[in-house]
Amino acid sequence: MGTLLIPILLIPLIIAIGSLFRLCGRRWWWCNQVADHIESHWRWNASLGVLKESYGVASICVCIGFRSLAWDSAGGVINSVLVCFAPVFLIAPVVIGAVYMYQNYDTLSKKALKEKIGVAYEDLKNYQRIPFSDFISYPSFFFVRRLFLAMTVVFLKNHFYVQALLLIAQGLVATMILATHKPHLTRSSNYFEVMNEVAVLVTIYHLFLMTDYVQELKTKRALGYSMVGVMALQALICIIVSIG
Amino acid sequence: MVQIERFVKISKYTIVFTVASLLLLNYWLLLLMNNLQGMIEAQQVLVLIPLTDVRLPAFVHLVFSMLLEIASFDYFETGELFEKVVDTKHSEPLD
Repeated sequence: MGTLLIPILLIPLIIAIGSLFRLCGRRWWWCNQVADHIESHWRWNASLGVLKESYGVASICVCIGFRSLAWDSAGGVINSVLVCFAPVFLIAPVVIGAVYMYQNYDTLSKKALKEKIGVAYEDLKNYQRIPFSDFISYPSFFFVRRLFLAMTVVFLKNHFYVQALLLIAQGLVATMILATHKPHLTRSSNYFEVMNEVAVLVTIYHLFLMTDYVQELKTKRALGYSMVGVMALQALICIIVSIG
Repeated sequence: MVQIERFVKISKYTIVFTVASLLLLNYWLLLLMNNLQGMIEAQQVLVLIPLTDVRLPAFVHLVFSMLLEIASFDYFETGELFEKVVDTKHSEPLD
């Protein structure tokens, strides 16, 4: 998360620079052009990109915050109040994003909107040809899944089997959505996403064999190698195909 | 005159070749980024596995800690920088 904090801190700076150029635009015409460029290319795209990548980690942080609510000290109260407001920041962007895209559905393919918020739907299929419900389901599911994953992992900490079953259920739903809706732009992207989801599912299946169901340490060690092997294979295939 | 024509012709081909190469490179980089982004998104789900109530072998934890660095974009050491910018003091953990 550390490196992602750099753009998070830079976004207000970018917005401030844009406003500064807009102010200078009253005197020098080219400043207006720079301000337009910053507003159209950076303000929303940068924020949305960072939100997308840090959503999983942010969800985990909020869930852990809920688990450690404390009202007995000043620091604890401040922390708890902040944590109580945090879900708004997690859920609001998803809802606002879905409503905004719904309202601007016909203009999503326009260059101006693509430059502004294109990062939210950049690799998705030609949204004019598929029903809107299909288009909206995947970007929303991306966020909702991460939120549920974080909740499953943090709140069901002591209930491994429920946790594992929910993880598998989420993986299966994700695979089904990818396989049936094929939301991505190219066929290869769709195959890649399905492959990634299957790799995640297979890795999660290994968890069942890491419990007391398997007693031998030797077997558990072999299963550990298999688990690492699946993850390494997935990464290797992605890298090889990306380069080739 | 012939030399000028040849120069113009070579320049034209050079520009066309450069633009075409840049377009190809752009397309390839976009494709590469999309695939790598997909890989990182899958890894963001995978790194949650050690948080489950299962005892994994030690070397699996090692691999997961390496994955965590990729999935959470921890490519640079930023701890000291943020301590300077935010000026926070370390406190006792709540939990």
